[in-house]
Amino acid sequence: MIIMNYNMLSVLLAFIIMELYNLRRLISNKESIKVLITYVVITASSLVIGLLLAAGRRPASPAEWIQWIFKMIGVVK
Amino acid sequence: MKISKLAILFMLSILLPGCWDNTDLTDINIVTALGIDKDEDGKIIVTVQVAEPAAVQLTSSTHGGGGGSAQIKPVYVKSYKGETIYDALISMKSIIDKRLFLSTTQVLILGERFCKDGINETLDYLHRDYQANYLADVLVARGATPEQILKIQPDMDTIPAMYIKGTAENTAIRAKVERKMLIELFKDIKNECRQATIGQITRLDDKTVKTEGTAVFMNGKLVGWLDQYQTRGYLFVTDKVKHTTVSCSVNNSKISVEIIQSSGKKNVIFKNGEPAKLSIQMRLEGNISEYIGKETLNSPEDIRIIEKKISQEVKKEINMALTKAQKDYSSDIFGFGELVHKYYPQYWKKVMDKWNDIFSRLPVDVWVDIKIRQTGLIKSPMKKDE
Amino acid sequence: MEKARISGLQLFLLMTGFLLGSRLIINPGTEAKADGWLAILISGTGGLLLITLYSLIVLLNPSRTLVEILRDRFGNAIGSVVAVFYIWYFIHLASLVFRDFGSFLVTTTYPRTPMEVIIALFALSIIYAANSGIEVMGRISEILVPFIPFLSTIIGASIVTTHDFTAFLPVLENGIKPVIKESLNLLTFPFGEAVVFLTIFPYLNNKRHLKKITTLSTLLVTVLFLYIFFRNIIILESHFLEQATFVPHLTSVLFPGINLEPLFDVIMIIGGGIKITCAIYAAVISLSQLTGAKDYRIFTSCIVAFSVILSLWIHENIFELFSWTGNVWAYYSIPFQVVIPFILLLFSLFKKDKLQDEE
Repeated sequence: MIIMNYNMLSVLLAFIIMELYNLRRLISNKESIKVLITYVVITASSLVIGLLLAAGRRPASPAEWIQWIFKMIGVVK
Repeated sequence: MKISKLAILFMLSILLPGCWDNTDLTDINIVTALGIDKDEDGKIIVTVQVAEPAAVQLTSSTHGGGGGSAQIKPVYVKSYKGETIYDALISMKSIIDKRLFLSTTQVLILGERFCKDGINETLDYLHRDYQANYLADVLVARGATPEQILKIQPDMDTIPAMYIKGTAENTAIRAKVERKMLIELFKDIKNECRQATIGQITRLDDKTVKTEGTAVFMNGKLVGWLDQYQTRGYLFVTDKVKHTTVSCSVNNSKISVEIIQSSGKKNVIFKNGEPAKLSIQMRLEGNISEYIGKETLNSPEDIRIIEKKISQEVKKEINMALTKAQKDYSSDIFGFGELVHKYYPQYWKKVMDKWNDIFSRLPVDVWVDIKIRQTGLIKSPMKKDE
Repeated sequence: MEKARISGLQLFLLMTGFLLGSRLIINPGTEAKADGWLAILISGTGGLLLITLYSLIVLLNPSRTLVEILRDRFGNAIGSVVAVFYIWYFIHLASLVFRDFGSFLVTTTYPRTPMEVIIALFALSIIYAANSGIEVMGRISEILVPFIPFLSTIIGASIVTTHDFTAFLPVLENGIKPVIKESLNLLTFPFGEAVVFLTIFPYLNNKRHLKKITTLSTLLVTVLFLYIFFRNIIILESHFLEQATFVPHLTSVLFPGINLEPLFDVIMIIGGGIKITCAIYAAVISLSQLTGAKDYRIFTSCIVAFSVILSLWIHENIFELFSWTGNVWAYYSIPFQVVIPFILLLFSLFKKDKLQDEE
């Protein structure tokens, strides 16, 4: 069973509505395909991470990757 | 356009009620005083004094007029046991109806047993919690439990906590008890160069308490007390005296001098890298406020004699406080250690752990200088001319 | 590039607000304890050099923002890759500030409100501000930023009741090492973060004053940090400083009589809002230039949403946040704040003539 964090979900929902609303403008503005892809990638990744967080399945965060890299180099103890 | 207007309305309805944390005044119990003690088994007993605003208003408006309807008491006092302070406060809800609101705490009273077991670690909750009032006055109850103290019903104020706070506050004109706020106590606890002291409160009868004297701590544990004169000596040295009255007798006549300004300076004198002695310098200014006697008071020489007497008196009080701190408790409540830490950090690092013993052995030089400026509306004392 | 101009005063206030930003929550110079003032002085000097470096880059590459400069100097391919890293860095910066504020508000003012809701509500106003453009941001800072030094001074001046002005003694009790470490921390957070302004400096209407404005702003911030540090240490003593999670908040609670906490929260939100807005704006402008979008505004909401999610994702608890900003952030920032700008400056100096010939 997955316990969902409903506050997180509602925040996500609000953002999704906003971004879909924005997407309409993006298409009507006739932006290039590159812009569209960037937009979709960023939105999708934040959606996926947000859902994972709401489900309590937190993946290792960029801060941890960076710390790990620095530990490998030996800058940070 | 329509959508954005709707969105704004929707947003306002979310934003304006103050999120999750709105609390109505009717949903909280206003805590005016908090008492903390320990029982024999080491459990914490927390006592709260809660004020009922409606009843406070009622009692003050219908005072002497006879209320008529059923009287609600303006305050009630409840105690509860728990493993920690927070545990006790939360468990207490089994006997209390509403949420306890701690930000209004005016007075914090610590029990004797609680203090003897050490306050360094146990007060953590009051520091960690977001609603703690750092400006509450802290007092140690002597010869009574905090519950007994908080259960008094004073004539002077409908809320006992306000009455107790008042007596602690007016130390500004008498300097017989140290007024210690919670934040200052935390600073004392955290500072290893200085030992903590807290004002003392005793219960006289059902209606009265007395705040006089000081509780002396050593490494967070209550080790003893200073009486009112020693307390004043201590306050003189730590430069916390604002106004006070010092009395002395000269040739069968009694004189009271009101100290209007006091500045104390302490120092540790080093010789060959070791502390050789402590020195205390006091500069006081005062006015003659009462003179019961037959002498005349006309010339500067008369004033000089009184100045000398008063300075001896102040010196005596300071020496009494020093003797108590050095010989009986060996606890550096004056904060000489801070001076060593600041100006001789290398030496301090070596002696940090045994500083209180070193402090106890050091001789002290006390130097008091008092200037009497005014004599009030009359010059010579009241007497029949012969 | 947006067709907009901001005045010198607006840039000065925007930058001051940005630099004060979230450092107002976390006491400047805590780790060096009583020697924090030394760390502030050292990092202020270093910050002055860094910020002068950034303004020199902009002066040598007139009316170009970060992405364009990078592409000009490093070539299209490498420049774009570096630009992507910078965009990530700006988003990361914004999300860290989001998290700082979320933690702060959850601890002190809204203990029972979920952090994601606080951050999300905060983010909505950020989207609005960033969408309004740099001119509006400049005007907002003109109204709001003066409150920060003003209120800080009031809070400080009214609380100093104990006059132990020797509280900062002894000097260098624990040696020079913690001072150096804290200086590095302060240099990279907040002074070096002004690298964000590489995208904002080009909008200044009168470039001749750029160096003067940045210098003044850095000096003002250093002085304010010193003031805040001394205020805190005089009120709280050095032994006590390290104990509190949010030191300046603690000092504001100590005012007898009235509750100054709301004033303090206002300062925080102004500083943090401006900081996040600048970071988001920089990220959005850079991204739109990188992808060649016609209007930068289409990216605002998705970038803000991403950084909000990132802020919730990035650290699990407050200790991770503090230890990360204390230990890793400095090293992580050095390439972005020092190395790349320095190379950029060298390239700009050497290729200057060549580029002008082409034009």
